[in-house]
Amino acid sequence: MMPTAARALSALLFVACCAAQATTAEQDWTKHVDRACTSPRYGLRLAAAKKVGQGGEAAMPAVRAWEKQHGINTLPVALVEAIADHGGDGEGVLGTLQEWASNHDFYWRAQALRGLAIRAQDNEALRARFASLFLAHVEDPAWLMRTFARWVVEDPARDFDVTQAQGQVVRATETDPRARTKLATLRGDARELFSALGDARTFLGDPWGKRRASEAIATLKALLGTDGGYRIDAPSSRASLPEAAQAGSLVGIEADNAAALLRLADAIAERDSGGKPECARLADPPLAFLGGIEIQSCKHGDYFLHWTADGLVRGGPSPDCPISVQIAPGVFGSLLHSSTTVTVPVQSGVVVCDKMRIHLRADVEQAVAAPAALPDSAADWLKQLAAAIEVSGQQPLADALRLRLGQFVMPAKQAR
Amino acid sequence: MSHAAPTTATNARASIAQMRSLRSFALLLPLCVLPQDPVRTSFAVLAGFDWTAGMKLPDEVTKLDNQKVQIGGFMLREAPGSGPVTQFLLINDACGCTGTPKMNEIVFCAMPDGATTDIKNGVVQVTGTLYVGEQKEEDEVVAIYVMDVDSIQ
Repeated sequence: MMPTAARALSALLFVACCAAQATTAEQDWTKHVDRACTSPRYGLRLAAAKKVGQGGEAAMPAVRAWEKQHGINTLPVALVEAIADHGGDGEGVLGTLQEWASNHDFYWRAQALRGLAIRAQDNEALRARFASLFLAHVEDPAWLMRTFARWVVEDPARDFDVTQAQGQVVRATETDPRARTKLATLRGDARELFSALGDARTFLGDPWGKRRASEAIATLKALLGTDGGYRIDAPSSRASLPEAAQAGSLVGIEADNAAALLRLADAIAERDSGGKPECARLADPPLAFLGGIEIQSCKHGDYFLHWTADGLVRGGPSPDCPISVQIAPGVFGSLLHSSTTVTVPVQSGVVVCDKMRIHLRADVEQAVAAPAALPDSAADWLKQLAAAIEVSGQQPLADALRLRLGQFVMPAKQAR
Repeated sequence: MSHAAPTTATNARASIAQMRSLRSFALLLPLCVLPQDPVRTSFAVLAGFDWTAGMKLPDEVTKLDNQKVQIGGFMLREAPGSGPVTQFLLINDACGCTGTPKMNEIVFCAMPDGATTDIKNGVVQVTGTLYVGEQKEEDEVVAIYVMDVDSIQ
């Protein structure tokens, strides 16, 4: 039998050894979190984030310590995504994701909510546990937040007891094309995805429609086992699908996506045992837009506004700019003239997530401003534009512009 | 194009630059004789597959290795900051709000020696020589697409 002293020593050594291992492990996680947040190399940040995510519960104390020391918005999106994707179902991970998803000021709250939504898909208990969180965000102004919330709440395959959680809720149909496609991707809704394939719309030069089509075809390919020969860079279909089908002649237009669309439509109809889905070509309106602004905000949702030389203003919370208003040409002419005195540096402030892209006139370079960094002259001009929009009869569009400007106006200006 | 993992990021950058220089030098002679029109490509091609580390890259992208290409996208700083840069990321999405760009959704762009550029807002067309293949630092893949930039429009 081992003498008592030896047993005691052995026990002490064991405890010390365990403590040392725990300390080493803790130090390692601290190092990985630090690297995920600060490495100057994108690839190394990404790799470290994945490692931390895979660490799950063990890594969470280091993540929370970083958050406490440096502030929540110093956490990079890759780290939040990695925890959402690989963090497991431990209480530390679940609690953190819940806290982050509930924090309106956290840039990456949607990614945190996505982590919970993924876990809730096949887990009744987690769906019930986070029901009020998902329900609270089905109308969130940030489209990714409401998309992940709706993914759980409006899952047609499951009976999510809305009445039990929050009373009868009547929700508007999702109108943001980006959200519709993302939701269809999550749900595997081939028909909705198919409808995105003809999208070639742009905003301030950003080909967001092609990006939407790209996301749709990637998911369709996974669902159907084929992309039908669809090429995102091919010219968009010249006609809506039914018209193309009725024309009956697709010979010689293989470069066009019409033939691919027909093949995909057949595949979807066969898969669903239903009629052929529809896909209309979605292009920019034949208008020459002179300038515009685009606010992308993970916190508050997006806002788009652009205008023509003769005062037609289109805008709204999605890049298809569903709201239009005509400002009297004389009033808008004066506004345009005054814009020549507005100077916006190419970059104002340090952008982490939320930002405003500004293109006031065709003859100036596009600029970008971080929250609380928009130059006064630009803020003043946009307020004048909001007033002109309001006078022209589109108060909601004007109010939204004023509201959203608040995030970007410099603090001294806000105080005045 | 994978190579031994250097001990520091600085060394890695130097070795990548050296490798690119050698490869560029190898291409110089034919370039002197035959002016090369850039091949127009896009993220639909570069990001058109699910990338996993160590995989064989599709022919569609490997055929672009060492080619003069033009690609449209958004400029992004590799790390938050302000002022001109010598390197930047070219990505397909203006806002990282939709998630982290995957490795095959990024072109790591390097300006010519001694040159800098401002990060331009909106879509830009970047022309330069593209190198395709996994690049590693400290055993981690840090890039698949690297470009020596000739011009940004």
